Amino acid sequence: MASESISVTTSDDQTIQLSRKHAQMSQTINSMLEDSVGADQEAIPLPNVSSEVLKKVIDWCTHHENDPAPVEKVKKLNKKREYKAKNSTISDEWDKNFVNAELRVIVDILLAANYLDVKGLFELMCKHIANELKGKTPDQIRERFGIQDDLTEEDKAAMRKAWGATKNDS
Amino acid sequence: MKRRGSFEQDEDVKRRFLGHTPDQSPPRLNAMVDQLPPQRHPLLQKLLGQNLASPVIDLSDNTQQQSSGYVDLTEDTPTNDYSHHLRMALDRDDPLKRQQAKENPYVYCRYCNHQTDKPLQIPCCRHLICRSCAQQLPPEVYSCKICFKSFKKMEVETVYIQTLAVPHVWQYRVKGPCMVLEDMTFTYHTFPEDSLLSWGNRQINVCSYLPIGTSNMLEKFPDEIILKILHFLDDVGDVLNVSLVCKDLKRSARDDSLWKRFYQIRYFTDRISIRTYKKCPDRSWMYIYGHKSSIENMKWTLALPSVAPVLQGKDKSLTNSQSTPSTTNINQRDVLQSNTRVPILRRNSSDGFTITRKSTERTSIDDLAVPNVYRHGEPEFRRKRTHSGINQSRIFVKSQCLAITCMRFDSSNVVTGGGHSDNWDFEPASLLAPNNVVVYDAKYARKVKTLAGHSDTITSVLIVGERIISGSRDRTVKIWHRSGPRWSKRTAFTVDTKRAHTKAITALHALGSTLVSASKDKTMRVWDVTEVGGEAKCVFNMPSIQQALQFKDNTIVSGGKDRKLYVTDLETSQTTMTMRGHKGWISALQINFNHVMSAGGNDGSLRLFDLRTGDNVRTIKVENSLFSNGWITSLQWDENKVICGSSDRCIRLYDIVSGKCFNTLKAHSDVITAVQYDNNKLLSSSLDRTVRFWNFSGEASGEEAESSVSNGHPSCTVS
Repeated sequence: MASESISVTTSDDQTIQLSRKHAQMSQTINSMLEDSVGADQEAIPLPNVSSEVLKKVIDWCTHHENDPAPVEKVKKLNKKREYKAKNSTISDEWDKNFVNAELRVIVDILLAANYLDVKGLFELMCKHIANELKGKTPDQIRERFGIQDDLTEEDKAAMRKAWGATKNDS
Repeated sequence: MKRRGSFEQDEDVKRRFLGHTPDQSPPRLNAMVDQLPPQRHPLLQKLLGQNLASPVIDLSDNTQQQSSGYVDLTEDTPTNDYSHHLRMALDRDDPLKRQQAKENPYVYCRYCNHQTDKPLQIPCCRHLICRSCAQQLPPEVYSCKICFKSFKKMEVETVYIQTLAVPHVWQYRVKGPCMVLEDMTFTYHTFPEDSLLSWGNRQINVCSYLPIGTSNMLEKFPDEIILKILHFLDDVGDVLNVSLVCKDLKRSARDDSLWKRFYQIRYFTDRISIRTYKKCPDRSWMYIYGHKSSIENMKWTLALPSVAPVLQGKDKSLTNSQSTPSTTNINQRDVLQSNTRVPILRRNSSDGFTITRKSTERTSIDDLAVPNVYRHGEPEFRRKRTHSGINQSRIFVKSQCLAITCMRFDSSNVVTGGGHSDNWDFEPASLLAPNNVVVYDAKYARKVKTLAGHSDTITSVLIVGERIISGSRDRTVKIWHRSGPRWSKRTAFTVDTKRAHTKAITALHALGSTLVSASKDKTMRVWDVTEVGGEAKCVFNMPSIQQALQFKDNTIVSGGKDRKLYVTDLETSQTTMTMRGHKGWISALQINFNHVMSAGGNDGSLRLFDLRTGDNVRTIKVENSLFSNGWITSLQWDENKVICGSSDRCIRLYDIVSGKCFNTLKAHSDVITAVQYDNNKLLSSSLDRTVRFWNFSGEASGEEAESSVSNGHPSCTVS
């Protein structure tokens, strides 16, 4: 049995200890561990994650460590087709607080969650950003996310024409 | 709020103490972003080496090198609004002001009012103080004497700076000391601004917040992540707004998987017709969705380049009767007209189309078989009822809807449900059509009320006393309860929507206050009609989709796609009997006198089952003028006769005893969707938008009735 804590090196050359349980919530680290069973003394390099963000991720993992694992859906032959919209409401109170951070942090956590392959966290962040996008006009979205408008007026006119009056459009 | 209260108290205390109103300056936002790695920058290296012992920042060191940042030295009264920052930013770019700042570096200390040439600046409020005052500040408590804003010193690696006016976040990575300013609502990290503002060769404007370089937050994301995020948007309008933001997002928002999902959510299927595929040559789901949802966006002009050429082709394929000018900018109205019906369905019976001719030839043989008595009745009918000699019937109502999909009448009203005809074969025009329940006066055939509310084709309507119940493909059952004594234009009504089915409603039946609905989700639900809203009283899970149902005395008989009839007990909720015999889907059934007559949709047979024993007591073979495609859509029977409407546009009357067809009524130009008769009349509705009225006297008068009896035929004539 390997040691209970695992050290990882973040992009800013910090070594952070995290427990094996948390580490295994990340599929990326998990597969790295499986690959290097013998040499578990070395710190795992995570070149895409900064320590600040990794701490946030560990926070989330600590809170969600006892969550049941997502059930793998077995594909049935005569699968009943039910088409439902993905629900973007965040139900967990702790999650709501967690998400209540600056957007730049959210963006970094989302990228880290994607890299580390932490499913729940990734979904949570996606939901949050989707909620940010909801009900906003294109101008508001640009302002919120600092996006520069590179569409030409003809593009926009064509799209408006195609779709009729999209609601909330300025 | 608590904190704000205490802050105001502080202010009061301060005002009394100092005897003047303190400046309430906004928190300083010394925001900056740079793509340059901070470690490499000489100024930052300097900063790293420098240990800030006091919360104030020494401006004097840099004054000579960095003139641009110090224009604000001249203004020592910060203003309350944020235009202050903007002005500073503008000043910084103004060479005249810069020159002034250079010439007159002397300012007055805010604490001791002495003139000083090397002021220090408090990062939070930008108050300028002299060095002697700064040294007197306590080393641990960092707060301005005048405005009481507190700040603390900390070591940070990554700092996120949020500006106030626009909630925008910059990331800045620094190793070394910086100031953290605590405000009422935000925590601000404050840097020695002057060194940061002119990093590299970029001028970073504090107030415009947008740096010269890109700071697109979503830019970091690969397309897959953006797509994942977009998948969480459940409103089409949101996605459209996103697609208007920038080119990258536009590309992502047009993704097929996204629109396919929207399509699935809305129409419960991912199947589309070949015709639509032809219309959308690039096969993008966005256009397909747009086609189908154009009912909502009435402005969908189909001027999309991928769609228009196909419409031209469509126009060419149209026959003589309606040809629209095939321009690329066909507007919706034109499309509506040209696409409303395939021409073959729109022609009158006098038009010479091949299929029509075939059907007339064939059915003329049927006509020969009709006993004299019924032929006898026809001329009378013509004299009385019709102007032209072709049809035996007259058009009772013509609907605004593209098709009448169901119809019921009682003594005072005729109720029709509208929609478009086919499941898969949709056209933009069919989506513009209303899905209304329309109430007509049975006597004068006038429209008295339009009950709008369904969002998809209505599959079934019922009249139960003062209620009209309608089930639709939009998964809901609506109960329209009128408040007046009869339906009229001014009748107020209430709508109760029963939402529980997860798929389209296929059949409804109600007796008294009990309503049973069947749906494509393979369930049947029992409702209380009088109860507003509420849950289903019980749910029956059926082995297949039930397409027809009726109940009587706690016995529900239903039949569907697995070719069996199920008898379910309402009280025990158990299937008591399964009746087999049909070789095709069951599409219609009716219970009468302990027997049930069911129509096998595509096996062309009517079967009579005994409900007590479950025996198939009689089978009537229905001839069909279509080769093999005809199916029976509706039926009604009594002890003498069965009347069934079928998809070959004919209504046929059968003698139950002999099993022979004794009349075939042809007038409709499209699939019959419902037939119902009472003593006087037969009404039939069809996808050709009409309800036809057949004067149909059950008690034929005089000799006709006698002769019909003597002939051994049921006592009904079409006269």
